Formats: sequence, structure tokens, C-alpha cells
Amino acid sequence: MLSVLPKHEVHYLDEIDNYNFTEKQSAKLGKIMGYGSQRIAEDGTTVSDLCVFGMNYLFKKDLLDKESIGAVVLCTQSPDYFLPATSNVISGRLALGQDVISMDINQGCAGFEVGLMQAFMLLNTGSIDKVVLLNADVLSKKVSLKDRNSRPLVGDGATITIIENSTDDEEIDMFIKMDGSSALSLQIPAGGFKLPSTPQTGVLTEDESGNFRSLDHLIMKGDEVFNFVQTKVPEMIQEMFDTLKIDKSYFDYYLFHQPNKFMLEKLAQKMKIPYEKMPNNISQKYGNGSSITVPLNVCENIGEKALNNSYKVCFGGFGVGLTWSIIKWKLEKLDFCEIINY
Amino acid sequence: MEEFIESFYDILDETEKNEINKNTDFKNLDEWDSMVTLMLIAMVDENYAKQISGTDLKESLTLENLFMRIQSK
Repeated sequence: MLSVLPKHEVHYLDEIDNYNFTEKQSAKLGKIMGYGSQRIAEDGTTVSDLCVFGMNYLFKKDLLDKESIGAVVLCTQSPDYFLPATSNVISGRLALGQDVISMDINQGCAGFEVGLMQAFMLLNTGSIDKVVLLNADVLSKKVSLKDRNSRPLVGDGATITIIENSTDDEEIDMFIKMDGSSALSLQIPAGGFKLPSTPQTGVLTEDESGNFRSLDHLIMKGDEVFNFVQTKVPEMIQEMFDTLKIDKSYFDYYLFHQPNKFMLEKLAQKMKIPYEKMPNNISQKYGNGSSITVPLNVCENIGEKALNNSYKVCFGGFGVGLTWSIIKWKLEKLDFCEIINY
Repeated sequence: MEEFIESFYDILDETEKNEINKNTDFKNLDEWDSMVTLMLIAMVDENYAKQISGTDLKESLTLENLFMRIQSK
């Protein structure tokens, strides 16, 4: 696993003046939600830029053999283009062979798990031995600077996870659910074919709590999303424990998506999982980069230890879709597990 | 009810205790914002194992109204 983060760092406290709230209110918010710094891509930096940079790093360091790649799966919600698929653009820029399958998946905070599911299906075809799963987003470009709900938590970046068949017969168990009836709880209203971007969709308007955003910006119904996470994720964890006949002590780590510190803390409390087993430092340090937070969590919190040890981990993601997912996985020794700057 | 009002007061930072009672029009408190909303939702989830929605908040004028809605869930 490799994480690629843009160098540029933004600090929550530096941006307090952008918000339509008193400094005191915003400072309190920052403390409770755990807002610290975020990695934000420079204007013009795209998802393919971050992915190509990371892949070239792996080639150069002899951590990945270009010829061995059978498929490239990219999970993003901020693609370079509507079409072609950004994974095709990446394959082209890396000069991958014509036998390499590329595909994009449109998923956000559960995108690591959904991407893994796709990777497993490709490996199961029998004709592909190695899948490159790319998770990447530069969604900060779609968040209003005057939106105190979403701006302080967004982050950009990419992660690269190489998946291949293992020799042991350790089972991987995966639970995924989706609720399309709440699909618009997290959305960017304009810019697609339903509502193309126009000068009008770019006009900032104030919502009832004093945030300014336009229809081109990401909007999140915070209360709905919070309720969804607090209800559905513990339910699914319990379902996993019951189905697999294990309990919470089974796992060495719970590596979950990290929307913000507050939400994950509440989730840990509710599931009675000790904080030391559920790292909660990614959103404060790097921001919430959608589907990259889980692999980034591995790079940040297990890091080099993953090269010589194996761990029983529970991956968890939840967000846009709405989608929620958990995976029980024995993380075998990794060939690499680090973070680099773009 | 007493307990609920106490827990609600604990979420707040800048509001005087005597401003908080069952008749408090909580959404009109100076301090009321999206974060207090989130913390209130979390508190109700923790203490009462109930989920309150945006609609519940919209349709409750006072803390008593809100408490009644939680009770009826």
C-alpha cells in the first residue's frame, strides 16, 4: 500500500475568517470535531496526476513490476473527465499494455471496500493475477470555502493498493449494503447531465445555518449522515460478529473511514471498541479524502510494522450512496506501506 | 425531563443555566448551530438510544416538545 498526498497543507484556524460564525464558535467546533490540518491539491492537479506519480514511484523503487499488472481499478468521484474513464488515462500515461483492463468506480467513503470487491472479482476470473486498486480524489475543488460543514474536513490524495491471490486459504469476509433512497443526502447538485453547470449554478447562496455554497458545490445533510452512520454501522458490525461467530476482541485493528474525529469517537463509544484499536488521527492530520482514508489509515498507523507482521483487521467505510461496508481481513506482510508527498 | 434538560445544558458553552428550561425555544439560542445540532443528536442516541431527525428538530419549538417526540419514538 502506498499513499500519495499533495504537499500543500491548509490549517483550519487559518480559514476561520471565511466562515460566517464568530471566531469563538468556530474554534469550539474545531476542537470538538478535531479539525487540524488538511492536504489540499494545488489547482490543476488531477486524480491521474496523483496516481501516475505514485505508480512511477513504485516502478522506480522496484516495488511493482509493470508487466505483472492485470487490471487497474480506480475509485474516484472527481475524475479528470466525464469520459474517457480516468483509469484509461492513467494506463495510457503509464504506458501499460493492451491486455490491462481499466475501469472506474464512482464511490466515496466506502470506495476502498467496493474497490476491493471489484478487485476480488477480477482475480476470480482466473486470467488476472494482480490488480492495482487506485483510490483518489481532489474533491476539495468542489467544496465551498465558505461552507463550515464540509470545508474543514475535506482532504485530497491518492492511495495505491496492490491485490494478488495469496497462497493460504484465509477467508476474507465482506459485508456491503446500500440505501439508494438516501442517495441525495450527500451530493453535488450541478455539473452532471441532470443540471449542467451554468453561471447561475455557480452563484453562492446562504443556507439556514449561515454557510455559503452554490449548486456546483458538494452539499451534505450532516444530521442525516450522522444518524445513518450511528445506526447502520454498529448494526453491520454486530451482523458480522453474529455471522462469523467472533467478537470484538478478534481484531487487532479497526481501520475505519474517518469523516471527522467526533463521528468516529461516537462510533467507537457506541460499539464499545477501545480507542487504541480504532485509530482516529487521519482527518485531523490530512483531512477526509473519501475513499483514501482507510488505506491511508493503514499507512499512517501500521506503516512499517506491516512489512514484518500480519494483523487481523476490520476495514470499514460509510458515506455517499449511501453505502456502508466492512471487511474482515488478515493483512499479511506487505511489500510496502508508506506515505509520500506529491 | 430534568435529566434531558441537564444533558442539553451540558452541550452548551455560552448559555446561562437559567435560560435553559422546558419552555426554551432552543433553536433560537445564540449558540444554536450545526455543531450543537450534531451533539444533541449524539446525546439523544447515547442516552435514549433514539434517532432524532432534522424534521424532529424543525417541528419542536421547545425542549419539552422535543423531549415528547423522543419519548414517543
